[in-house]
Amino acid sequence: MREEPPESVLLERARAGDDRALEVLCERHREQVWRIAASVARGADAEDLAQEVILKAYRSLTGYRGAAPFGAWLCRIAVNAAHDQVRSAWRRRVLLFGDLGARREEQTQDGPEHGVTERETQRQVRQAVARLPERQRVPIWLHYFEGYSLAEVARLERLPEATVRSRVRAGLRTLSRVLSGAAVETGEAVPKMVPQQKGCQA
Amino acid sequence: MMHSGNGHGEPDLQDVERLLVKAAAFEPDEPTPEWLVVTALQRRRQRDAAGLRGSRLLLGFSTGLAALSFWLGQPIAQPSLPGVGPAAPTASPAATVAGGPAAGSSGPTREIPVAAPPPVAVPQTPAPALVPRAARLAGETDVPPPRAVWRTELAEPAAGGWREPALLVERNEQLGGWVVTEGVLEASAGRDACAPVEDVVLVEPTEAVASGSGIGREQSEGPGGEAGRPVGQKDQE
Repeated sequence: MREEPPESVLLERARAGDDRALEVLCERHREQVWRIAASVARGADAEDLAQEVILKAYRSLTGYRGAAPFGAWLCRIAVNAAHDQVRSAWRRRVLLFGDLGARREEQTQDGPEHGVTERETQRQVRQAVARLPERQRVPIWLHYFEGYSLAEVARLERLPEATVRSRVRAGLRTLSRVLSGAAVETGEAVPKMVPQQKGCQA
Repeated sequence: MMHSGNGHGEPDLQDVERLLVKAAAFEPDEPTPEWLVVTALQRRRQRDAAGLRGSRLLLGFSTGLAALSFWLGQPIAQPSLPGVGPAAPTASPAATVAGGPAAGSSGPTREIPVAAPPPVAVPQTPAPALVPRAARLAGETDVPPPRAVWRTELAEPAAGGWREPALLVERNEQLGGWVVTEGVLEASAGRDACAPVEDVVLVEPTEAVASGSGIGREQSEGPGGEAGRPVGQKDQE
């Protein structure tokens, strides 16, 4: 079996128009993309969103200079696409049909109610992050969900670390307000902070 | 998972951080589709092909307009797609069509017998038939077609901001029909964003197949107001 070339070589080829190279690159980060997509959407919507991320990456490839790791760059695209997904009014309305069935199915398949609730809470928190303004959304997602340090995020975003720190802080404040509220734009109730605190401390 | 230490003395922020740490452990309940990347790139190729066809049609239309303009000895505003043909004029085309001096202009404006263009740039290409396209996708990729079988794939966003009427068509087995959602796809700074929805309607399968071009006609009327609504369909909300 032939060994795949390193990422830098693949990137160079992909930028030169080699579809196969881009395919290999995206394939390497497929699970990461899927994890982001599936955390803000379900079923066919998640598939659609993940595909959109690949398409956006393809379209934006000429603008990618390789300053950030490809995975982080792709993740940024995915997070922004997730934002569009959760902000999109049309998806929200169409989900009115598909969502009900999906939720019923999930509840019957997952068994213990706790597991379902926990995953649902995780999903809602991620959706709340995805709704943040870009300047807060990207650093928070990269830092808390993708494991990049604030210094790394600062390098990726080409910003001073203090700026990133301040944006993260502002994002946390926004999240605090949003998650404490009874509802967000989708009209779905988001768990209040108090019950969630119990879960976190357990 | 690391903590940023952003919540000094602010219990609310610490709570939020705890929630974030918890949410970081999210694992999808569905396995990662193995065909994800391949299918996405196939969609891109299909999109490129559709975009090329649309561009050619528009280029032909623009050339025709240019010829007419030359014949009349009067410059006429030409529609443009990002990356195709000349840039669209900034002046309102409606003012020119209505006759009389346009606002802010000097001298009389000659009335030109052309139809007023839609309020936003719409590629004048026929809408693809929905079901056949879904079938093609299924046949080519050997996987179930995406639920959204057609979503404004007639044009690609360019660097500048522009708005595009869009229809999202989804098959809903539970309802036994197609769900058509109309909205506006807004591309700015290289990123797509879907902005306000006009309506969600249910289209019976037979109607969706029979009136694929009808949906295209509705689309060309623009996204705003009643003109943007697919006619004769039942609102879901």
